[in-house]
Amino acid sequence: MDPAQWEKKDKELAESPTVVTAESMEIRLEESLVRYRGNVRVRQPRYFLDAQEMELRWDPQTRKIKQLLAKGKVRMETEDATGSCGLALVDLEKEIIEMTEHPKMVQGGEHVEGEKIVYSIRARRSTVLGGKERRVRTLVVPGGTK
Amino acid sequence: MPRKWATVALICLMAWLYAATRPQAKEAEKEDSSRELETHVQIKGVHFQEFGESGLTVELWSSSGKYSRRGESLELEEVKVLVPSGSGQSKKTMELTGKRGNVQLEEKLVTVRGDVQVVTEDGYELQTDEASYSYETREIEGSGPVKVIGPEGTTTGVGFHVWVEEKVVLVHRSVETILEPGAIQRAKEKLKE
Repeated sequence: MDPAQWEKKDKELAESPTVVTAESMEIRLEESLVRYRGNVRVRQPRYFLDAQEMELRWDPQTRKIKQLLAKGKVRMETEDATGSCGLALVDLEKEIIEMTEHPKMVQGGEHVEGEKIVYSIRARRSTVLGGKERRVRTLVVPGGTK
Repeated sequence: MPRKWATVALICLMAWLYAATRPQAKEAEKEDSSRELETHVQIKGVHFQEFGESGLTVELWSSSGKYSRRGESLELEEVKVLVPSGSGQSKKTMELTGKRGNVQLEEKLVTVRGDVQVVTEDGYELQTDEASYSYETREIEGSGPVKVIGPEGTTTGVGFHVWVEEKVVLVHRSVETILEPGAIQRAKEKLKE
């Protein structure tokens, strides 16, 4: 696919609805927050996400969802990568996913781990950051795809 | 022979008892029905308000009503309940509507049934078949299937609880939300109207 086709496909998929299922949901109007609890599953043609709990925040002025925070046994899959962690923050304005608490990601045959993984949804690129507790670890599988 | 006399005596006793108690029962029935008639008041066009120490606690409108003094209750048709929420600058109003309603005056409870809607000024609409509003605890509750239409999308589930003061809505079970990108724009236009 050429970049123009990618862009067109991306736009179409971005306009597709996102389906969230959970055991319970709490809307806190004063805090512009929706909290989903119990077997949370997010399904969108571009990605899926499973977690024990998820918080969704919107901008009270524009009413646009700006942030998504998934907690507990987080598992994600995009078109080109899969990942897991304890806490994932999806910033929909910046279009990045910040994974912390033992984050792991497999992308293009590379298995990466660190203290924090930042994945750019638009650029489909991940940055792995190490810390005192956990250094960056990469495992390259020759000929591996995903 | 004595057994035969005993049976006859028993039948006589039963006949006497029936004859003695029947007029009393009839009298009691008569009294009851007249009391029923006395305690029901039919009203057309109801505007009901109740004031507590803090001021207005509940305000509702209805196309018609039936008041029972004995049951301390009010049966209503085509009900609209105004529910003040929040305080100070963030003070807003929720609206609870439905086809039929019942106000339990002692329990301070309004139950609304049939095409029930709870609409908030923040642009949320909750649809269900039955909801109860306690104007003492300031909570709205329902146990049946519920649909929440918000600026971000539509949620379906089973059972709900609204804490009016805190502006918190909880859907208890089987939650499914469909977030539609176009829903935000539609909700903004709806809020402008």
